[in-house]
Parts: sequence; structure tokens; C-alpha cells
Amino acid sequence: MCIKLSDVNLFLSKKEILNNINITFKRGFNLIYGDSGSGKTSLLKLINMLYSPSKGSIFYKEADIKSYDSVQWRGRCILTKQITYLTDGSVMDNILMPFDFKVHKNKTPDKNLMYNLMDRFHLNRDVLEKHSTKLSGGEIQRIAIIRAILLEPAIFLFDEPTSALDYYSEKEVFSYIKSLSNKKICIVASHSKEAIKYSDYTFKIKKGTIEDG
Amino acid sequence: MVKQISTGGLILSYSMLLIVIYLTHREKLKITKDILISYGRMSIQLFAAGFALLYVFKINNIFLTSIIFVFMIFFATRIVIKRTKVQMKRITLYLFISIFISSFSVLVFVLFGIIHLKNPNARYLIPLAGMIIGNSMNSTAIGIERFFSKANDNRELIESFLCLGANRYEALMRIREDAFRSSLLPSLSSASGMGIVFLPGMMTGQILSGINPIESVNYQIVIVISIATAVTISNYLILRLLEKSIFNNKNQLII
Repeated sequence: MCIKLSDVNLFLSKKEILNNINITFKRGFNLIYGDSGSGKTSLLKLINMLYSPSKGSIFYKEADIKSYDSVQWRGRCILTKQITYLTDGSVMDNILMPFDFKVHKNKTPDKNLMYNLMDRFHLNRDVLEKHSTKLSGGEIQRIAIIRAILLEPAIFLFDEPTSALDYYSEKEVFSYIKSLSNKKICIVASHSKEAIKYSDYTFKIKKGTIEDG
Repeated sequence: MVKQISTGGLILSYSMLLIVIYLTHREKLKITKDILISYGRMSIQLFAAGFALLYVFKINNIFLTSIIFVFMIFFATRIVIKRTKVQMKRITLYLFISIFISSFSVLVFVLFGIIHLKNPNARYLIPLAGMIIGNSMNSTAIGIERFFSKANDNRELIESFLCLGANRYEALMRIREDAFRSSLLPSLSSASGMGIVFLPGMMTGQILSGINPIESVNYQIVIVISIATAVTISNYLILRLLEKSIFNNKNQLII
């Protein structure tokens, strides 16, 4: 079980964003480490099929992901974006919102897990009743991570999951992702040095190219 | 008996435009030319329509009436596309289909189900179609404009839905909601002002031509509800059709 990028190039508006990427992501905590603008987000969007490679292919279980239905694929390979836009309504409404999607309709959110995660990520439980516009950036970020976890995808993609968090919350988030990665492929894009402590595999990216090491 | 407007009276009515021209000129709006062209055009178009209708009502031929119906929709479509400045493949076709289906189905129901006409009399069909198509035109212009501006401003929001596994319909939920609501609001607010704030054009026309106000109320209510229905259907259809147009076959945003 792995995701393999083979000779992948990505051009957006004629600009080369990713150049000849060859990586295999295995089960575990895969860290894509690099500065902002290096192509981390684009790489995750490629895997989530929000972009298609301009050249090369992405394989999952030996099959090109092109052959999957994009909606089904995204339902199994969920991307948590760096900035999540919550919609009008309470935080709880926003957590439950994707469970109304066709692709997730057989799933029910595990409320106990939700409360556990909130405690663990230092979120007060009354946050759930708050209106989505009343949240801080850090709160939104943690809510988005919890929501992704509740959706139980086969593959987790996290884009800068701790960019708005303090040191203690960051540690909790990374250590939880680490525990998830015992069973699943977790791919985390981050420029945080803290992430390196938790990662099983680190891929350094610079100007759209993976560096050795 | 209805008092007719004489040619002299008509010419006198144009003199009111002198006030319009004077005041706009004084305030340096620089629209004198536009005023002359617009109202000149209006006069020519209305006279042409009047004579054409005289002829159309006289021969009352179903094929001719149908052709006029299709032309009306065609022009409404073109006006919307021009006004919204949307450049997209097939949008003209989508809009034509949306307005055609909504106005055709509502008209059939009204003419045969409510007014109980034996055949599609041009005297009924064309004015009713005009009101229904005209309102569909104005509302779809709002709906389409709103849809694209919202979608363009909220690409990140749409992607936030997509990356969790939303399909096109689900990802555009908020955008569609907003566009749909905006497109329906004008008909709703105009309906609530009717009878108190103003008398609608059709009712005014019937009353001026000597029809009992109570009878014209029945007609007006049917028209207002028909317009609301046609506006709702046409906007629903165009928004559902547009939904496909901003994604590629991998459900990636292409705007």
C-alpha cells in the first residue's frame, strides 16, 4: 500500500511548479519539508486530484489514480488545507457538513473520538456551539484536522496543519498524526522543524524539486 | 368607452422628455445622445411591434406564433449574455433551454389549464409569453452574474469542499444558494408591493381599456404567479447547467 509519483511535472499558467518528482509515500508519517513557495501545497493538491500532473503519473496500489473517480478518490484521500473556510453556521454544523456528502453518507461521526480529540488538542468543548465566524485561526485549524480524522479516510493529507498553533498544540497534533500513521499513509506538508521529530520519512522540497536525503 | 390618445397628444408626451434632457444636461450627465437614441428606439420598436401584432393577431397562425415565441426567447438570451458579459462555451444554448422549458411549460398550463383556451390564440399567447420571458430574462441575468462572481471570489471555499470529497453539486451548494436567492428576490419584493405601492402594468392596461378592476385582478394574480414559477424554474435550470461548466471531468475548477 503506497502512493507513488513517477516523473511528475506540474505547470500552472505556464509556470513550472513541480519538476520531475519521483517519490513513494509508504504507510507512516511522510513529511514534505520545505519553505513556502517550494511546491508543497501543489504536491498535495496533485495527490488529492485537485490538480492533474502535466507530465508523469501518480499510482495508488499500482493503479494510476486517473482511473479513479475524482470524487470517490477525494473521499478516501482527504486533504486538510492550510486555510479552511468554514461556512455559515455553528462549528458543529461545519464538522458534520461533509457527512452529508454522497461519498461519506454511510459514515457516522464518532462523537467520543471528537471529544477526545478536542481535549487532546486543547480545544474547549463549548467551541462546538460557537458560530463559525467567531473562531480564531488556530481553532479553525484544529477543527479542520478533527473533521478530517472523523471522516476516516484511507490516506491523510495535511497542508501546514500547525501553522497557526502554539508549540504545545503543535506537538499534540503531530503526535496524533504519528499515531494515525501506524495504520495509514499520512502525508504532511510543513516547514516546522518540530515535524521532523515525528516523521518516519522526510522529503525535502526546494523550488519544485525533491532534494536528496 | 376608452379615451384614445390622439397623434397630437402623443407628440405632446414627447415634450416631457425635454425636462429629462434639460435636467440631465444641466447636471452634466452627458447622456443626451443616449436618451434620444433609447427613446427613439423604443418608439420605433413599439410601433413596429404594434403593427406586427395587428397582423399576427389577424392571421392567428400557430406556426407564426411559435416562431415569434422562439424568437422572443432567442433575443432574451442574447440580451442576458450581453449584459452579464459571460464568455463560456454553450452558455447561450443552456440559457435558451432554461428559458424555453420554463416559459413553455408555464404557458401551456396557464393557457389551457387556467384560461381554458381551445387553441393557442396569439392574442393571449404573445403578451403572456412576453411578460414571462421578460421576467425570466431579468432574473437569469442576475442569477448568472451572481453565480460567476461568487464562484470567482470563492475558489478557495469551493476547493475546501472538493478536497473533502464533495461532488460538483455539493461543492457549489453555497454559491448556488446565493445566486438562486438573488435571482428570485426582485419578483418576491415586487409581488409584495403590488396593489399598495403600485398597480402592475398589465392590470393598469386592462383597467385603462375599460375592464372591471376585479376581473383584471384575476388575470394579474395568474400572471404574477406564472412569472414567479417561470423565474424559479429558469433560474434553477440555468444554475444546474452552469454547475457543470466551471469544472472539468475530474471535478477540478477551470475558472
